[in-house]
Amino acid sequence: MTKYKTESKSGLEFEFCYLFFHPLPTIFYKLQEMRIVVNGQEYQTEARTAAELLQELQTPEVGTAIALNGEVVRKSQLSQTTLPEGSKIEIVRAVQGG
Amino acid sequence: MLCRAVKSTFMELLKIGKYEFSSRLITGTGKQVPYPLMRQCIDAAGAELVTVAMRRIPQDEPAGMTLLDNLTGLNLLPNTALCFTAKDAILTAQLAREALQTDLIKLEVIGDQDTLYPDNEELLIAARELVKDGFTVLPYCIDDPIICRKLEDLGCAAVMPLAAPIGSGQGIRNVTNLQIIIEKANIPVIVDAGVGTASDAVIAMELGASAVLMQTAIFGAKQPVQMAQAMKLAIHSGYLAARAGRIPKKLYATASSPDTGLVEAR
Repeated sequence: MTKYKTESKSGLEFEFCYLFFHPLPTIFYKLQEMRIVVNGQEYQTEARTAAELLQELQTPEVGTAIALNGEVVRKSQLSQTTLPEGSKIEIVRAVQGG
Repeated sequence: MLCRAVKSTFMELLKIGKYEFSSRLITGTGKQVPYPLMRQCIDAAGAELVTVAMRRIPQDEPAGMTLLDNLTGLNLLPNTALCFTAKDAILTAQLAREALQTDLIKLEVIGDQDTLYPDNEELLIAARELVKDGFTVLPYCIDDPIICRKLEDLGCAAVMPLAAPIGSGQGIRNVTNLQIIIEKANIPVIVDAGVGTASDAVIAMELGASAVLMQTAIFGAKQPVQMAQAMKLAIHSGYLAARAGRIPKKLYATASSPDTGLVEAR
């Protein structure tokens, strides 16, 4: 069995496994951890979308907001918004202030 | 007649853009003040609109009672405190709108760490952008009639000139400038920052300010709840005095008792 590993930009890792006597190559998908920056700190995540990231971080739904590379992601768009490798994320909530 | 007399002691609604408030005292939410005390102060001040800051969520923040749980029934005025560029202020405002579902924004673009004075150029850039984006913009600005006029021309819903540097408690340092700003403005003028005690708030209201915004004067006082009450009364008192019309100042005395029919001993 021969394995060819390729890393795609989307962060998905494909493993092409050519099995002997197999008529067609079989493709296995494995989610690879991706490096992004959350609130100024390096962060490894398996999350592919803004919604998945917020879930992973256990961010409360109410009173919070997220920006991806300087653009606010509307609540209705969270699950459609994919996070590219190296994304800069800001996640905020209200605190006491004057 | 009695009815009219009583009614005249009430304050007219404060109109900021499409919003209306019966209180003319806007407060902060304390800085590291325990939530119950914060709420007590806000209620004692009778505030309906309170400011909050927007900050990154720390990854290790424990779940529990949040600030918002303690601000139920109040209108939130998120700020862009300590933003030093228009870009940061705009993103902070947009995040605040998404997080808190309000288009109200207290726009601060700071120019210097020591004075916390606003950066006029950046402030104008951010104000223009946010007005265009549909925000109800309340910019914190220097007590300068020209910048206030420019902010009004851009479509801001109010202007918020400072009385003195933030948290300094110096009171109103430039009464005449504030007078000019109030006289020229066609939008509410809210005195923001620098108030130290109740008399400062009275003076601001007597000058014709539409409202006063304060944080440190209340939450920094030895008895914050008592000071909040004092501020509520001060705002009301100054508001009524401004409408009652003060007497002109004179150099010499004028007798306040009749100068005829006086008794003579000899």
